Amino acid sequence: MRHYHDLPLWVRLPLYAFVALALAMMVLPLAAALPISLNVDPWFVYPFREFSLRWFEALLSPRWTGAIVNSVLIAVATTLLATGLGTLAAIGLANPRFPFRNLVMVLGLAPLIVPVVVLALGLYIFFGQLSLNYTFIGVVIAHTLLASPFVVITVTATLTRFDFTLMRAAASLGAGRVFAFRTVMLPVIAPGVGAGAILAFAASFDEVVMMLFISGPQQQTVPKLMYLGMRENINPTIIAAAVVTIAFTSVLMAATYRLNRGK
Amino acid sequence: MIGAPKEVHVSLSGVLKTYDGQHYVVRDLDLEVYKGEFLTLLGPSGSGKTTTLMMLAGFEHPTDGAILLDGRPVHNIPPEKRNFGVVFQSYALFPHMTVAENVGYSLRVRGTAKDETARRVAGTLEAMRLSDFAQRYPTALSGGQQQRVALARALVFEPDLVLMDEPLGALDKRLREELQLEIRSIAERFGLTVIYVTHDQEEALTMSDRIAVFNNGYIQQIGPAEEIYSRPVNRFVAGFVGDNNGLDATVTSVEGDLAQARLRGGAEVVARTTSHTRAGAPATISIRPELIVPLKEARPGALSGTVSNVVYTGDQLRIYATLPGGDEVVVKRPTSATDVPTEIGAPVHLYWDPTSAWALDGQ
Repeated sequence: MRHYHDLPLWVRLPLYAFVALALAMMVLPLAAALPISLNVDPWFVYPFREFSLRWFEALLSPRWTGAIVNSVLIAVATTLLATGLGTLAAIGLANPRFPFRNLVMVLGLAPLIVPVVVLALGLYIFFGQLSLNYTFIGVVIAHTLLASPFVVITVTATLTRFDFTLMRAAASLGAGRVFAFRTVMLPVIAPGVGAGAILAFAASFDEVVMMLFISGPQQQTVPKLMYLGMRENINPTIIAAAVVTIAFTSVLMAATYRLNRGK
Repeated sequence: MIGAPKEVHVSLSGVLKTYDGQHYVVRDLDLEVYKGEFLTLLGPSGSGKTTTLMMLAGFEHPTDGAILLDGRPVHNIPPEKRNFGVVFQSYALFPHMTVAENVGYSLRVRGTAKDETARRVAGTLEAMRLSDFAQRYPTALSGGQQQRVALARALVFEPDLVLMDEPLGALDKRLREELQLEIRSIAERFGLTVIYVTHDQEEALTMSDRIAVFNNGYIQQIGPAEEIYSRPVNRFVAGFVGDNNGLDATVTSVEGDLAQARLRGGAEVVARTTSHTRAGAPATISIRPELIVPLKEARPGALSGTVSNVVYTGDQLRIYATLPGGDEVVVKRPTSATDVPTEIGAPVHLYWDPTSAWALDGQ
């Protein structure tokens, strides 16, 4: 087998350059924006007159801490609901005898394709009838709709490698379906479920469009405040909030990576 | 087994299985399995043997018919309530559990006390020579060790019946032969009733008390290994179990339990009659290669032909002879045998005892 390292240098150098460019495109915008959170002045300009943590301190105001708590509560509830529903859906859809399997799969993944504004508008009208607008439950349902497809995708990918004979083996050993699911299938597909849960959490934690339609003034979340902040009095607090969000999500990702690798 | 009173343990009666209502995977299956018996379901893929095993395990439901355990119907009982041990070809060991946890799973399901579980798992692992591997994960074991773990897991809860679906299919030949003997001796030691599925006729002959030969969803023949091999009831069984010569012929006359038949080349042979034998009807004359004596000199009752090929396989010589009608006959002789024509093109005279050949169903 030929290895990448066997390639001559004149082939490898352009490849390195291409990869570096691709990575730069992903990282540079962050590198440009995030340091602004350390600028003492309330403007988005370089160079800095002085470094300061004042925008991070501003995050400790009740307005922002309340939003952070709300964001976490909504994201946790969404994650639990989306992970449960998405996992069950993926298991059902893994059965080749599932009726109209492809159609149901497409419908289940539709929230990834349909513009969120359209979904949000539809939900807003629908929730109006059910009095779910401006409620915690309404927001969680809306976010679950957006987050579940991520779980369906990651769990489906894991299930393609799952040996369903294991479930037969468990049954032959006396395990009922629920017991076999809990003790055999779930531990084996846990990496896929975990990855789906993280994506679901991130999808909810970052979400702003649904929030603008469904949530009321008492439900401020971090992304919503950032968005409103952009329109009203723009200052580096929103960048500081972004730094905190990115750090938090990175820690989550690293934790699951270590969990999966430790198995 | 021989001489013991035969008590029916499992029986299938009138079992049918179809997925689409038109094609039957298993048809009109009647089968009785005795207590303590090692029964092998042998057949090519698609013959219905695996489907039959899956219906016994409860993973498939018969379209019609009944499956009884000690006279009680079990075909409506879900697999987890049947108390049957199942060993799968892919082993199906739980990858996230150690060997001891895998083996103890059935006891954990049943809520057995911790120390009792530990004791029984340790005992079973010891019987399977797996004690050193108790804390390992299945991926750290060889194929043969994994299959022994699968067997231990299927035995620890003292199942009423043990079902094995081609358990040695993924192993190499030497290991397979070793495990055949091991499984056989464990079955005897534990007094197990085993239903074993394989497509390997040698494996079936080595291990079984009785063999049921499957083809096209029917049991073609069921009986002890020796009977299946030396008294096949039709062309399929004769060809599938062991090496065999099947010569197309037409029955010319029947006298008692012997029939006279004419081969394509015109030569006349004598063979024992079967239920298929009718004067004037086509037949397949079936004779095992090791029952033919190849002679250099002609003698009455011997078929004349020429040596077309000779193959040396270490313990035996295979002599291929062509008959005047174009039929090819293979003869097996021990390598030590002398007086055997081995020159290609040389005349050879093939003689066998008429009672060791059978006139089976014709083409």
